[in-house]
Amino acid sequence: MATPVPRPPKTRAARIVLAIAVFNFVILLFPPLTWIVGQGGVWFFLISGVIGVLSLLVMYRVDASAEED
Amino acid sequence: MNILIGYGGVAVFLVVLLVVLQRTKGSADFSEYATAGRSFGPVFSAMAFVNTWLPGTIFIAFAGYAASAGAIGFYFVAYSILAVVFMFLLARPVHEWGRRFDLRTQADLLGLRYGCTKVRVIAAVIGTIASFPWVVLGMQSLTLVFEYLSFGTVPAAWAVLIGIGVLVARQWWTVRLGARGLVISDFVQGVVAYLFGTVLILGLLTWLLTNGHGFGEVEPAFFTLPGPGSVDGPLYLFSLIATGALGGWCWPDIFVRLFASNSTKSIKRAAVMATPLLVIFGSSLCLLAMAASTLPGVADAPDEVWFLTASVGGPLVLTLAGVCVLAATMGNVGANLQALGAQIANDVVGVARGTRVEDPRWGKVAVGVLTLLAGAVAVATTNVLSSGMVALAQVSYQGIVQLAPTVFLGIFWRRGNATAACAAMVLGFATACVLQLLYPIAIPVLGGMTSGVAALAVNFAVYVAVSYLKPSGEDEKRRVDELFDSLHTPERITR
Repeated sequence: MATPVPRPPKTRAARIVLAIAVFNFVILLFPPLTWIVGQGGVWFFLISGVIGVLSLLVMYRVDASAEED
Repeated sequence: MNILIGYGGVAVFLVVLLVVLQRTKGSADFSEYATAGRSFGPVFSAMAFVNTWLPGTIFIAFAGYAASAGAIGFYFVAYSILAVVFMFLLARPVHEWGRRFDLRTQADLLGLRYGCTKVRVIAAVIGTIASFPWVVLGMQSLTLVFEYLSFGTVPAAWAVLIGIGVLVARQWWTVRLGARGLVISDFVQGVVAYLFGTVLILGLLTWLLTNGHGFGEVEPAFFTLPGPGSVDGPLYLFSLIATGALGGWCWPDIFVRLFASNSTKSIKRAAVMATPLLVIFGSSLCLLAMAASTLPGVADAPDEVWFLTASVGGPLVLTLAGVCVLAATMGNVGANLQALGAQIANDVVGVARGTRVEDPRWGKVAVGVLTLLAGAVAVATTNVLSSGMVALAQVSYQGIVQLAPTVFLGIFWRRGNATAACAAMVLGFATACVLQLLYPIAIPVLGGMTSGVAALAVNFAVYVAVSYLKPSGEDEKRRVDELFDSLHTPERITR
């Protein structure tokens, strides 16, 4: 039987990047969140847009700093 | 006189674009033709992604949706953010495998990942079938541009032919230059459509807000999103966003943009650059459309909201608005034709001939034939079949998203295998087509879920179940492990 290949460990940076990605998916794809915003539909999208922009920035910084290390 | 301003503006834009394209060098081999030699940095990569991602109809149908339905029209901004998040996550595996194994298309990558020609061909065929109606619709979408810019001189029946003619002629450079020409022209077109377009949108929005068309005048219902008890159903918005986010990377033309970048880092930087552009441009356009919903004529023809609003600025502003639509449309149609042509040459002709395609002429012939075919279908369906073409395009969107489990689980999950991918794609595509024909908008018993998302649940379940119930053999498992491990090791492994 073949010996299983050891998987590379997930770094802290990779976990943070994944967590931020999941956070964005939850905000935009969790239906109850859009149900409770009521009349604030436009604000919901504007705020989630700003969160998206900031998220990508943080993901990039975290990823880049991990590569430097 | 006004038509000279309108059509003259289009001519000036085309001349600038063609001068840039004439200075672009051609491709030495097929790989370079399909991927631009994996040579572009983050700025070009970002603009190529945005210009491919946002079709010209963003100014027409998408703006029209916000003008007629309100806040829900922002859904394309939401799924664009998620698509960019996916772009960031896909960057490393797609670029690294692409570079190491000289991958040229999305189907090529799936063929490598699953070690199976059948997966490659099915993905190529689904991608081509689903994309073709969008190319045809893209060609027809310039009707409003040439109708409005003629200032009443050219009727719609002629405007549609002019639009198709311009787009078909423009593809001469797509055929000749392949991906490199597209990425360079995407930059010029993107600057005009989205940077300049945003400035124009903000100017028009300011005019609307200061001339009695503020958000206070808009119907209160426009600010509400559908929830439990709404006509659309509580899961309708979720379905729209999920389909756009997951389906985005299933389109061959979007996916192949990842192969044109020169490094993983460039793709990630491109994602960071694209996000503010997508959010600011998209949100501004939706706000403009909502504010303009109170303009005379918009309620009757919401798809014309961009042109009706720009008309308040006179012929020059309307011309600039038309050029924005033209620039956005060109990017999307050209990218689609180039990606589909490359995919047919690489993954259908190449597989049928049993050889790796190396001659760029195969790509040029495929793109050329597709362009002529799409142009002919666009002309033939301008009157009688246009509504049928729209329906076909809607079916195709629900169909293309069925590649998602095969693409994403294939790239991020080692256990997925060829049997699971084939079963999931075929069953998912068939389920989506049937459900779409039965429920063109949404499925009421599923809370407003769209056909594509309902079929996606079946597709995903089939993929996971088959992956566990019919696991790969030891040799295949070892090959896939090596493939994934190669992302963390510098050595090269064999295809």
